Amino acid sequence: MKMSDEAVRRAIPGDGSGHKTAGSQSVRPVRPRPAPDSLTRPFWDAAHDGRLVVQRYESCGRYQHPPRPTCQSCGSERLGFATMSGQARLWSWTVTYQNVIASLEHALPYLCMIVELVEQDSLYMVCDRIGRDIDIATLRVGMPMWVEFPPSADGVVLPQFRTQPDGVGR
Amino acid sequence: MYSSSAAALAGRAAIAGVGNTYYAADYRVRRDAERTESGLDPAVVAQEHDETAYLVAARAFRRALEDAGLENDDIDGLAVCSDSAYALCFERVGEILGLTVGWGAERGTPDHLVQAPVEGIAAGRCTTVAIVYGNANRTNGITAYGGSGWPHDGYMNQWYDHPWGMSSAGAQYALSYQQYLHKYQPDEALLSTVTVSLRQNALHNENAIMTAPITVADHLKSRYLCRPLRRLDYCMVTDGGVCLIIRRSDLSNDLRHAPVLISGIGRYSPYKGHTQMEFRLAEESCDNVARASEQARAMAGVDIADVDVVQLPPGLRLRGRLLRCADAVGEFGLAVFELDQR
Repeated sequence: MKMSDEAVRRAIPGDGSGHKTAGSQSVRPVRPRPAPDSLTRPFWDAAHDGRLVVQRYESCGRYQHPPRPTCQSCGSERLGFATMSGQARLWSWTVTYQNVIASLEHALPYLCMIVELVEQDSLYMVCDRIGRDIDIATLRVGMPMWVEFPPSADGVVLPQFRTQPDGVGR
Repeated sequence: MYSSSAAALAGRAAIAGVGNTYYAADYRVRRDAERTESGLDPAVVAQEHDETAYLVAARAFRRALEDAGLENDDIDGLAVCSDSAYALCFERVGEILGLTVGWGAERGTPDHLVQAPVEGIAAGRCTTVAIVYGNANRTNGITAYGGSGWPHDGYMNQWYDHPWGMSSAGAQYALSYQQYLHKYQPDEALLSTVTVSLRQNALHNENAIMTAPITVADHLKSRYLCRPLRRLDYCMVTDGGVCLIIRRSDLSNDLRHAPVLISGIGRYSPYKGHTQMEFRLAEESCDNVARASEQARAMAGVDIADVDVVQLPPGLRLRGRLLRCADAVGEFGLAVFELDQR
């Protein structure tokens, strides 16, 4: 289950001093598939259409993510989904080396980031760079991030965030 | 939420007995078995997990009774801890332990489950409560907490983020710690001394699994599991049972050991944003510890300067976080000390 030390060194040259992460090129990692239900389906459907939506309650105007059956702030059941600007700030990041999700074993080590959407304090969302290069030395907590919707082979679109605005140096 | 009338609960109940399983010995047996088994049959593992979780709970209960010098018939209350997806069934625990009770509490975490018996005893509902916990995750083949196999309705939901590879409590704490590093720019070697001192404490615990001393250099060259967290920052997945016997104080004076009076207890658990990990991400989570501490001290009627020792649960002992929490509890030169049983 574990990558050898040698394999980790190949994946992150000179690790410990801020070099690149990259998934294995030989075996494609398989992400766990989301399991949309009546509560969360609007989020996944919107992502498929290239829109980032977040649950929002009509009475108090607060956003919450992931979706819940009632509003944590006002208790309202009158839920809707609002399209977000897609702008965020990098809140933090971590590189996972030890596998916990079996189907992602071949992607190790991989980078996960958590961003805070600009629309509301503490409105966090997770994103990653599984199978894609990024130089972690360039990451700065608080740096601006922009949503993107990379195509996927299995048709499941996950909102992701990149460090450059649309059209600049993908 | 806290009222000064809670002070009437101070000293009404006491810890009369403590029981643990032999973590180190059980771990070595399990590790040796893992080395010889070429492959585990999932059906056998599931059954063994079930048996082992109840078995370790029952062993801990027997040792706690013996420690207290009490008999089965003295127990008239039962609290069963379940802080993970693999929870013990309350009724089955009661059956295995052979108990008849008039008061019960279940599905709380171990720390939360001290509060309820204190209140149950003070209310006259019972006199002697066994708080029981058993966990066989090592036997169950779990090597880390989280992942796709972790049930969706369990405690600590990370499931929504699995498609992005966010998988474990460790990864969440790593995010929190990375934020801390960014904000305070600490010298990592300085923070390593926290990990080193925790291991140093383990050397004084005959029930500890890991007893080899480590140095700051050992910590800094320990491999990452979820960067910036390293292997030596993690606690291990083990099997284990633990039991506390809580008894009405005025009935506890002729027991085998001097009872430990429960003078104060507090709880502050903001669940808002739980799935979104706010309780681990936000810096305010350390202030939650301070609020619970305030309640406990108010109930006990003690000042922060009266407190000599603070022990913090494993999830809070991540280096920077631990220091922040200790700071939140009180900045009066508290000695932070933890008996690390791992």
